[in-house]
Amino acid sequence: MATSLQRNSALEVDDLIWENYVFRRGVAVEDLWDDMYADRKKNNRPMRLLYIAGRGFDVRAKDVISKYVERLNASGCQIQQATLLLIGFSGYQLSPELEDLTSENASILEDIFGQIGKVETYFIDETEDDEELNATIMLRLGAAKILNFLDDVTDIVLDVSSLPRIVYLTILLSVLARIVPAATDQNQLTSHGVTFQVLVGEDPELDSKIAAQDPSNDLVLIPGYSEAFQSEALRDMPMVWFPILGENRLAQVQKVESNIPDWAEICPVLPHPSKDPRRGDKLLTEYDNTLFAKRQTPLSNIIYAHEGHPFEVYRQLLEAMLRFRNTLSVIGGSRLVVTPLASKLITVGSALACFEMKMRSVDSTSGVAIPYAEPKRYVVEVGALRSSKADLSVLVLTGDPFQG
Amino acid sequence: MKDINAQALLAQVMDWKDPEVVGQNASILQLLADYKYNHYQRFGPGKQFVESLALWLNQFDKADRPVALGLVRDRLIFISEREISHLVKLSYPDVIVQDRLRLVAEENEIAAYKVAALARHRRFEELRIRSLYLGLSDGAHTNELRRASNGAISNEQIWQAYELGDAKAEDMLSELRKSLTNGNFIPSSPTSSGDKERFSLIWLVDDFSGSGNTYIRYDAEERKFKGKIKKIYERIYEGDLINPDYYEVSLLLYVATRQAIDHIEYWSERFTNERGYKPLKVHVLHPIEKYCSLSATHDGPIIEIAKQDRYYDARASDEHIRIGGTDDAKLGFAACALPLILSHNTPNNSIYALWGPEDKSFFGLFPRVSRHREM
Repeated sequence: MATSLQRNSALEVDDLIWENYVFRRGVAVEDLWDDMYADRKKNNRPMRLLYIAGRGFDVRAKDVISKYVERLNASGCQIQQATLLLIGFSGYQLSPELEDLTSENASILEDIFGQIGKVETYFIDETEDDEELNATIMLRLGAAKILNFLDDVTDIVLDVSSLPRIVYLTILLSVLARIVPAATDQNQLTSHGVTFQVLVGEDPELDSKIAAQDPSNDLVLIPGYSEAFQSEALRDMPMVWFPILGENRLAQVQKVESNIPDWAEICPVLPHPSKDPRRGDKLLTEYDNTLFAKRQTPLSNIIYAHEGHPFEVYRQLLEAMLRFRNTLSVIGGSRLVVTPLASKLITVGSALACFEMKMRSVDSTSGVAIPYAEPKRYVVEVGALRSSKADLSVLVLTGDPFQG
Repeated sequence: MKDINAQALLAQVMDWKDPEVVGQNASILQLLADYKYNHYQRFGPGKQFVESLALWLNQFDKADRPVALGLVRDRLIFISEREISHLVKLSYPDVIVQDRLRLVAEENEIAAYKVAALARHRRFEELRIRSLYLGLSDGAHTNELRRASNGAISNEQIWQAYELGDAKAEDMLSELRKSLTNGNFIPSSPTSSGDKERFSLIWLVDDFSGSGNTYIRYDAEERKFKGKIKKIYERIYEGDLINPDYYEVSLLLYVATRQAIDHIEYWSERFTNERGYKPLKVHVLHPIEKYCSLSATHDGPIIEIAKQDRYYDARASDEHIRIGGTDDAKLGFAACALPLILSHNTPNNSIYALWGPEDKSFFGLFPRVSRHREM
């Protein structure tokens, strides 16, 4: 039986949605835009663009948008319509300096994008009648509102650089659910004709200086990825938790861990390869008490994922989830729970795995959930933010690369 | 030895009196031992890391032991067999396939981002069949690489060594012709041109390079190039396995130091330029950057003890070490000064104190088995 299960898993992994992928970093990002938009111009295909970015304190979004607008303008591609949707958030406790920086960033982003289109600002955590909503419901409402902006666009760009993790995960997964049809035909990534890019400006040194404090008492569940975790009807179904580990997230790990049943399988994901070859070992010791000593998690449960390659993370995580789903189907099904606490690139890769796993789970007794303990407070020195040099990466998830 | 006894032994050697100090150190070392270090393949049967650490530390003067322990606790890089396997697994989809997509894009003037069109292109499949994979050492994990390709690399496209016998080469060419015929890339009826089908893409695979010297080096005395890369290029032009009019040679290393990458890129470019060969492409999945090496600036006390004669056995200074340009191996081959252990063997580019063989007067924490016969 084991052989047959393994074979099933291997067959499924052969047929990944993003088996062929487009991922570029550094100067190759601008080369990619130049090639893509030159083809658009040559084929006389005008653009109707929605660019989504955070109205946050992180200055990385500024570098990302200015590079994008510069290359788009240089291409000479016809822009029929362009909207910058700035997502604001008022629920975090920030210092006055960080509040000022947030406003300053917003005006700079508006000025840069103003060269090609209009700007709309939407505060995702504000309700019209001031009623108090929990974060999960707020995200669901926010996602529905953002999806309204998708009508009639040819291009969606999601810049995750200055968006909180729960917000960009919500937007990314909601947009994919809208534009990627469930059918597993060959045109799955092109059938809606929309090119969807995710931009990531990362600076690991700056990330290590941003302290995320006071995780919320309530776990946030990403819309569409909650039932497997919350449903009373599924509470006895086997669970596998995949905490994707990053530095300085102990309080958040503990918060989620306290909601994971004792009998659940835990498969921590460590970065490997990494620029720092000792990074995985250090994370192991950082989370030893919570994940290994207390829970008696076997060290052989550790999964490795490439620190700088989101599609490798996607493949590793999806493969592990499929393997567990096949095995646990024998005893009634599975709940696969992913908590991404590592870098933005790894988080985006893990979101792709969750998206595909959910798509593959429609007719099976398994479900995927993404619970997260969102920090209420961010602390960072303004000087560190201003001197940050972000390394830009792009993932093109649908559209032009998959035509033909 | 049981964990508790090994920890007591370690506490004795380190002269730790405070149970809290013992607990803090022992729990981290025991965790890393269970995770990686106990699986060092050159440990004898039943030998465990913590007891080995205690015996190794015991060779140092008491005053030097905290420095030696600090090397293990704070600087040691151990790449386990599972980590190597993970690198092997990602080689095919993230390096080999991506490189072939790039080639098809260049040959056919298709934009590199059009991945669906490139992957469906006939040439993409033809180049898959025309790829040859050769292991450069017994660490190349060629079987694992073949399995990780999910059937895209056949048994007749991969060999664990770079020196092929005539019979093996003929088998590989025969299978190549069969695959090309089955894929309708060449006519099914044998023609004179059909008999000359050759491989075009050569992937040379190895697990680790510390200095790059064994791959390519220039012997100034004999005024000639030496190493595996040179031999392989000469095979392309002398043999009938590879098409000398259309070929690409790529070196795929799972782990390599920046020093090795720079060395191989520099000297292989000199070599291929001089001979009019196509340049070598170097792909490294897990580069070990220069800051990982031990240096007098950042690791002064460790370098100091590593250089001492009493923590060294002069018999390790042999002619193989001298190829790296140093008279002794205290700081490792070619003075790489690495704190690196690979699960199957410690590279001699690491400092001697880590890899000294068990039969030497000062033995290493992870004793090395030499590929060369000892004097």
